[in-house]
Amino acid sequence: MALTLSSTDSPVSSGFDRSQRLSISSSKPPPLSNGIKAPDTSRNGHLHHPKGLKQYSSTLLEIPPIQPGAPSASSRSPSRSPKEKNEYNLPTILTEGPSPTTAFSYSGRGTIKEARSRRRKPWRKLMWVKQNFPDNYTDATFLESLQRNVNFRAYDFWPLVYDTTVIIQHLSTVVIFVCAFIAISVGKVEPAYVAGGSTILTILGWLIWDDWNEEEQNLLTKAQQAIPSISRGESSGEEEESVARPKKQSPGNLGGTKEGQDSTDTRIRGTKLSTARSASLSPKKSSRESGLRPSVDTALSMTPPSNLDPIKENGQLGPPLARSLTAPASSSSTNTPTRPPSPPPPPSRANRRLSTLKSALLIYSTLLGLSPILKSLTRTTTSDSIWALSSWLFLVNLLCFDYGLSEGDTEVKRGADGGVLLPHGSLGPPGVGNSLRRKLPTSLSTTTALAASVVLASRLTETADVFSLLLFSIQIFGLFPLFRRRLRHLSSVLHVSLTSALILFAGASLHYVVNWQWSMMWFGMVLGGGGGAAWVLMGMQRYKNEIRGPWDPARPVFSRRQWAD
Amino acid sequence: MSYNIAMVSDFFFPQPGGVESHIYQVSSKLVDRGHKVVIITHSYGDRTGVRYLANGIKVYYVPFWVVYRESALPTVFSFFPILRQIVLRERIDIVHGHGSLSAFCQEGLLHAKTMGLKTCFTDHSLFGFADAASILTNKLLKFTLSDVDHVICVSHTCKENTVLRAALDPFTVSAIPNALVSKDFRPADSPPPPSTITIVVISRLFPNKGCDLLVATIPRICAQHENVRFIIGGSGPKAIDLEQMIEKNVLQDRVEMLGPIRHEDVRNVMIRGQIYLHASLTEAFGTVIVEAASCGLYVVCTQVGGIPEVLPSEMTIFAKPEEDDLVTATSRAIHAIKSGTVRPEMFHDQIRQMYSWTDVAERTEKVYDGIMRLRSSRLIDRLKRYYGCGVWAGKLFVLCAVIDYLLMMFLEFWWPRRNIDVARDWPRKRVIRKESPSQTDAEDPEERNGWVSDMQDQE
Amino acid sequence: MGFSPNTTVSCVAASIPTFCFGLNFSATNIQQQLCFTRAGKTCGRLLEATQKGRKLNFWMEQEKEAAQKPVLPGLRVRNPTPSTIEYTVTTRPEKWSRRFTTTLVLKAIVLGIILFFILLKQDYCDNGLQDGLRNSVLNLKPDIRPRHLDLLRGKVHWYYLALLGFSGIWIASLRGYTEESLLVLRGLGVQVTTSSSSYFVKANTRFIPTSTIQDIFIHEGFVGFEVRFYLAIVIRDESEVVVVFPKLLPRREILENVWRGSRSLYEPEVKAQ
Repeated sequence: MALTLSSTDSPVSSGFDRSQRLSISSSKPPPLSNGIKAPDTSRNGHLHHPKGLKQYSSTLLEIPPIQPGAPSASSRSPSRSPKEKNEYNLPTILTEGPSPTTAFSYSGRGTIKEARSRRRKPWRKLMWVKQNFPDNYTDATFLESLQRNVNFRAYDFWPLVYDTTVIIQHLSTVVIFVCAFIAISVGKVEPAYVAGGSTILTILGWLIWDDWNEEEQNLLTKAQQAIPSISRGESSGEEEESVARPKKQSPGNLGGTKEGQDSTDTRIRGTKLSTARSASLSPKKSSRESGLRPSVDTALSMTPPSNLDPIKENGQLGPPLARSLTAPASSSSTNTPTRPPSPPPPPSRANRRLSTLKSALLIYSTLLGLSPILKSLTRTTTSDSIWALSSWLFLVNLLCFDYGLSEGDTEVKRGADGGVLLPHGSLGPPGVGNSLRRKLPTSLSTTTALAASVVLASRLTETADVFSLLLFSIQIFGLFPLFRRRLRHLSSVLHVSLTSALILFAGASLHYVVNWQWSMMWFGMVLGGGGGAAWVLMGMQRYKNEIRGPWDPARPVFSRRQWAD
Repeated sequence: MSYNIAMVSDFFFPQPGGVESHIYQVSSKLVDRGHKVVIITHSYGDRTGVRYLANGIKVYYVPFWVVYRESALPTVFSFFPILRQIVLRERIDIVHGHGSLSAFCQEGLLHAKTMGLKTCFTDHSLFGFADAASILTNKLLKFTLSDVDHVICVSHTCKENTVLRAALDPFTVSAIPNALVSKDFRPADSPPPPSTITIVVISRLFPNKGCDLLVATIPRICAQHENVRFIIGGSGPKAIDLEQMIEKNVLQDRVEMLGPIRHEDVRNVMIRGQIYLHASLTEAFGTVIVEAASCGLYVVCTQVGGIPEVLPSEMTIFAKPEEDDLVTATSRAIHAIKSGTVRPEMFHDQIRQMYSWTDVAERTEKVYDGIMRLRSSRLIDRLKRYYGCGVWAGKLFVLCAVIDYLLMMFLEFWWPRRNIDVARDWPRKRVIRKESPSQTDAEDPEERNGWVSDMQDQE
Repeated sequence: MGFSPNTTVSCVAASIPTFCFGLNFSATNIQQQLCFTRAGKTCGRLLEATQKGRKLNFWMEQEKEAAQKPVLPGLRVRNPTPSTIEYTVTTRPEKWSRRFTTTLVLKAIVLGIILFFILLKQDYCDNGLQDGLRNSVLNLKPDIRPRHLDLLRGKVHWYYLALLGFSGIWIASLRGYTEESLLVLRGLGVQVTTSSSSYFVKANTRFIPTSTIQDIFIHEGFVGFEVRFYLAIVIRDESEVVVVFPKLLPRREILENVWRGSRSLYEPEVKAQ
């Protein structure tokens, strides 16, 4: 360009020192176009001794601007001018104005910082000072206080699948019950077999339950003796995961303590204690040990004392059954403090069995007497309505069922202020949030299921059929959930095997009663619901974008003392 | 250069409130600066039709909701015909919406954009991102704001919030504070004697105004300090809690509940005290604490939202939104007043320097200058922008924009432009626009150009 | 018409003075309006004075003679006596214009059809089915009896025919235009007239004596989806204003023209100025 043009002037420029010339030649785009120096380019071809001088030249490059030789503005290195321009309209972002899509990652900060150094007074995030910045100035500190996904916790696949088992179990029981109904009504199965089989299983279950009670009792007494010697506040937080991890140990070690419990019974959280206890019992015990024992007793006294013990014959557990039949509304059987087993003054085992037997007999005979009435109760309703009604009732049952999340009543509170997801909370049915679940008595699901079975029973012809179905429904909807829940807390391996057994049995009964397509559908649904849903949930976690910042309403903090009174 | 500006909002006089007075004051000052301002709001009771306020501000109380409710048009577009009429007859250049919860404003911005006008939006409040209502509002806001030329926020925190909510470019968002008419908030001629410290609380008694904190702290402060009285002004659902607190702690002679207070009376209440206690949990700007400081009160406030930006630290004591901290801070304030280490009566003059509506109007005008130099975007560009608002929402928004455009064509056909009378302007004030009124411009003229050129670059 | 002057009224000029933000201003309160309109008069004059220098033909520099000529389309001004002036706003088409003739022809057709049917019926009644117009004029075969020809055959009941006839007459009697006028008699008052839609109904006329007139002003209001200007007369002891040209709501220029003229007439001292 300019170099070739001014080659005629070469004699003039010969006086220039070599280094200068070299500097020009070495820098490929000519930094100066003083006509004077340019001519040498023609010779540069051979004058150019590059390597050794190149570093040298780089320092010399600094010289040109100082020279008074009229370095025209246009000839300045092109990289220079925009930079200067930059400095002037700084706050104007030209460089990297973050597009709306990348609103969270501002890369334009470098230039802004430059601006700050150039100015004497830095920008301050204040409205009351008049600052030398335009109103739309955006500082480097913009959105500095933004927090994202503060309480983020990544899910793992298998724990999620494990968590779905509770739902699947309940679904299976419903399926099994419906299958039993169809089988009885079409006469594929003798009703006596259904009732008999379930009764035998129930008795078996009760025996196991009774055994657990016994162990618990023993451990409890031991633990009570041990309490004074326990140092307080020893954390057992590691056990939090024990629910999720399959863990087969001695029954005493089964306690899958949950987070919520950790928070509540901090006072009596001793290692011995927590290992000595089954998880489901610990909150209650905490209250008892803090001197609330009488209240527990009174709470229990609303049901007859005999109910404190499991029923022998057709129920693993008396009280919930009795309550669900007599006073459904008051039987929040899963609200821990009133959990029936292991009352403080343990009656002898024989006594308990006796009273269980008594109440079981009572129920049995009541049911026997009621069967003819129940049979004709909704006889006049058309079958279409019955199907629709029972479907709805089962749906309500599925939605309102307490999927075992109420162990830690306190978890709710903690989850609310810390934003911590409950271990199983994420899998609760969508319609039943934590708060809602608190309000709904768990008996609602039991009641609806029983109502559904009563409604269905009216489609049966024989009184014996009705009786069998109702007995079966009481066992499968009233007692079985309690057993399942307890089993889940005691051993995850047993829990999983029970789940698989239920799934298989449900599939098999579908196959037997309906056809194999339905059975396949069932298995597909279980797989999809368990694995698929967990997988989807994990996939969706990527999109979690929870934003916090100073604009959020502050959460007022109160000192406890104030609220105690 | 003077503009014809239409302020669109659901919130306007006769309803009292911060947004309302903001609109009125800014409009009034803009009229003083030679612009023409028209305010469009919905009718309030029998206040329907066209009215004039002082300074020649014309207010359209659109009777829309009452009269033509039965028309089958969905409400997204139903405001368009009247807005178009007003815009044409008043020869509006700029449509300026206020308040993100105002449906009127959101609709107005959309239609104004369709008509190719310049739009501006002022956000007065903070929103979270968690609850369903906020999510819905934010989505809607994203829709309308994705095409708005400039956004004004009342504080920097509010700006951050709005930028996040509507996914805006932060450089199209300006932070311009609220202000106050400082002569209406003069301190008392004779300050109350410091022997009895009176703490004033004036706020709507809602949960988000921190009434639970008040309930918790007031008894403790009363217990700790002998000569402290409280005056609580305002009404709301939490008034009952406060009453209960008073009765429970037998504080009837020390805590006075005044009930709702009209804005004109705020000063009279404030000057009865020495300390203003503000326990709000969220606040975009907090005009009331500025008013309190202007009345010569020492301000104790929670450090939330935009509050830390509002007042200098010598006028305030900040507390965390915690009961204990608030008690400590109030105690410190009481001691400071008693010992005379602060001179609250000096605050008034300082506040007058800090905030004035004239300044706000000037800065708003600068925003107008900026947006008037923008090219108006083509329909296809707008559609592109709307489309980017979300997977499903984007398509819905595009649909809305297209329908809006077609509606405009129909209106052009049905009520042609030439048949619409142009209203006579109120005689304008002579435009007195001193060049470089603020320091910014005087010192660094390039900066202002830069601001503008930047706006152009975005287009 | 969804036009309620009561709620939409607030005086243009009235609100200049002392209209502070906190002032609750209810238009239904006639007492308040009274004081506002008084203020409005003075303010109008004030404005005129201030703007004379700027040549803003703002409110009232034009006089009667200017108003005499029908300067604006749609407005006709008559000046029968020196102290009388009549402003008429109309949509009546010019005589023998296309629209006029079209309307006339259409009306004639409607009337003709009705007459035809009546004749048909008459004929049927007189001569019966066998030998009526059916055979002679329309030449229809007796065995072909499509039902839709019942009307033609005149088998329709008189009742329906009467209904048809009346509606036809009603259609023919429609004016097809609206004419509204304001007659200003200096010193006496103004008379507002709105033509009816039909020739049979007489025009709606109201005379307002000067003594009861408080003010005449132009303001804007919402009419359906539109914002329109209107000229209104405030009458003493009446809560509602009288809107002049309520149906047509002519354009602003016309209204201003009328306003100037009417004002100078009913307020002699203004003219004397």
